[in-house]
Amino acid sequence: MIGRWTVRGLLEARLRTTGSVLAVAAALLLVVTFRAVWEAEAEQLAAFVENAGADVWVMQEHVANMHMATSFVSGSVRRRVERVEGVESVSAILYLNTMVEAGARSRFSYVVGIERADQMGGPWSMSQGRAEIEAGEAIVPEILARVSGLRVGSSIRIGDRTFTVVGLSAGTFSLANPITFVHADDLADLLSLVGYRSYVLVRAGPGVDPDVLAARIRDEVGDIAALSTKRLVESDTQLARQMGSELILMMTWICAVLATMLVAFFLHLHASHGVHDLAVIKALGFERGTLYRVVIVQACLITGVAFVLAMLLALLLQVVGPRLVPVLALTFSLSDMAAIGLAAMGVALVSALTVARRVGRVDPLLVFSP
Amino acid sequence: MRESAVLQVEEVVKQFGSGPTSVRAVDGVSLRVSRGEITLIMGPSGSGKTTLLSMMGGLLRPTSGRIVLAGRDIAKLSERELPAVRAHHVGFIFQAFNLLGALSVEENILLPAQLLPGGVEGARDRVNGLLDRLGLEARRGAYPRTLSGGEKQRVAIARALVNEAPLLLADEPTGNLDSERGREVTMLLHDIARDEGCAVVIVAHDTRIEDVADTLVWLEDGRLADRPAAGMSWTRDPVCGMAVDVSSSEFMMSYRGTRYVFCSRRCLERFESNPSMYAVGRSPPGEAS
Repeated sequence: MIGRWTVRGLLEARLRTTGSVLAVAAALLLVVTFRAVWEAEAEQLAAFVENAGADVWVMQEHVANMHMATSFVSGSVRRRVERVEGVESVSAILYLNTMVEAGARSRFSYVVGIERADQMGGPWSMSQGRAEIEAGEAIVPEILARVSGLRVGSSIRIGDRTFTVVGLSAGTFSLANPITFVHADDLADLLSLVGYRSYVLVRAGPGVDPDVLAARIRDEVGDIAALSTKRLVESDTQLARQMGSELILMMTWICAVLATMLVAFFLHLHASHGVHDLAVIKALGFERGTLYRVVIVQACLITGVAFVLAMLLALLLQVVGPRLVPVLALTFSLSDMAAIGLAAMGVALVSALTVARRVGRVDPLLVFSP
Repeated sequence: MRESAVLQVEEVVKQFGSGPTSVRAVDGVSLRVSRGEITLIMGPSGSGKTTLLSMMGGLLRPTSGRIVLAGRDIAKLSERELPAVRAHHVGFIFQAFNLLGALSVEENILLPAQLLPGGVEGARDRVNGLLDRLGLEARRGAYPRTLSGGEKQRVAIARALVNEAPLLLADEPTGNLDSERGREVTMLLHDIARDEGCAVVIVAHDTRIEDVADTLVWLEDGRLADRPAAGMSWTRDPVCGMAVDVSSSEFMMSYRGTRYVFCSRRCLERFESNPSMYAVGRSPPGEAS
């Protein structure tokens, strides 16, 4: 009976209950969406490495990333790598993190210099135009083109050079680092480099383990770093997550505190309105523990419903969000949702604790007041 | 020969505050309540009636004295032990009914049964019997907001009876009812004391209850006193026509220079809503015959 009273009490206070559920759901949705945006960015940052077609990446000694990294290896490295046993083919790319002026605004971008369209490290999926790049030409992500008003034939600027867009690539956009492809010679000119490349991309022969091949390249070539694609992806993703972890943690805490305050405020408000009923329940012989359980159940119900609502909205956002905002990519992970769920239960319990003392001290003599 | 006492109150004192500002709300009261008896506690406002009732029901601890209920001195019980005493040995009926608005009639009655060993399911048959006896069968699923005052009080009585507590404590049970519903509730309490064998203690200003009370206790300034027969000043409630003691009634108001006294808040509110209807055309309230 107390259980029914607990639930119906919430339903009767429709406005208050709905308001608090929506507010808590908004706080939880904010956290889960923020984490999803970051996760999608982390995944997208590694998309180039994953889709480049290489099994092993050879780079400057002590470099272990593409993201936030600069690497230069001489032309002789490429030739020495080609001679290592187990290497089927090699390609080389130049790579630079820089600003690309596209349309009316500038955007930070990976600029990848390639020599041929069919080499490793080129655009892996085209939505429009051609993949072959000549001097003075560029391929930009289709989403960047859409939001910047670019199309095939438009111009972009990198440094003091103007490039003509000849193709739009798919799967190459992220908020932090869209990928722009240009010819390697143009990028070498921009950097005033002769004979250097940033990464040598290696395709392993049939049956050759990429990690074993990477170790062999490190041993035989010397003074370079070599990682299998799997390791480089892990390294880049981890770096991206590390960069965002403190921010995400801070956001999670802010939203958790906000949600706790909202639930606690609601419970206080609910207890104030229902103090007479609580006094009646106490007078009838129910113990304080029953009242504590009432508050805990109410806190859990509000937070639980808010959590479910937030997760449903998150799933809806995953479908609708990128259609409405093309630059938005969201990756909701089950582990994140479970973590938010646990945090929500913590929110419920802490909120209930803030009200427990007040509820426990309700004076049963209130039953005599009209 | 008197029945064995369900409740014995021995030299009970309740003092609020300390030092020169302290107030003795109840001062050395002793009384004994037996099975099947109705004890009516009357007295002027502020005489300590409700404080005494609260102590009898284990809602308030006395400063000194003994309150023996079902063989245990509940004045000595800890805060943790008192809820069980209230749940198993006392049924409460309040002036304001105190039904839980979120529960139906049946659920309100079943609520205290949750504290019994058999739980709610074990009390179903008894609740059905109470609903039938109190004429609430048709209102079983109704919510308190849809009930009349009389129905609400009948639900409250059923709730007080569901745990078969030996002691029923009623605080102004007719205070919010008109005269007809008040009479109905009074007779119900009378029947319950006789049929269920409960000891019923009623705090009231309503002199109609005197007719069914076995014992009348007059409380004044926290002490038991002889009822001041000469001091009783009877007048008629201008709304329901009931005889009301001017000295003990809590409900009064002045209108066009005349003081009116009422038997209950309900009558007072009715009068306030349209004073001319009750004051005009009726003889000015004077001493009742």
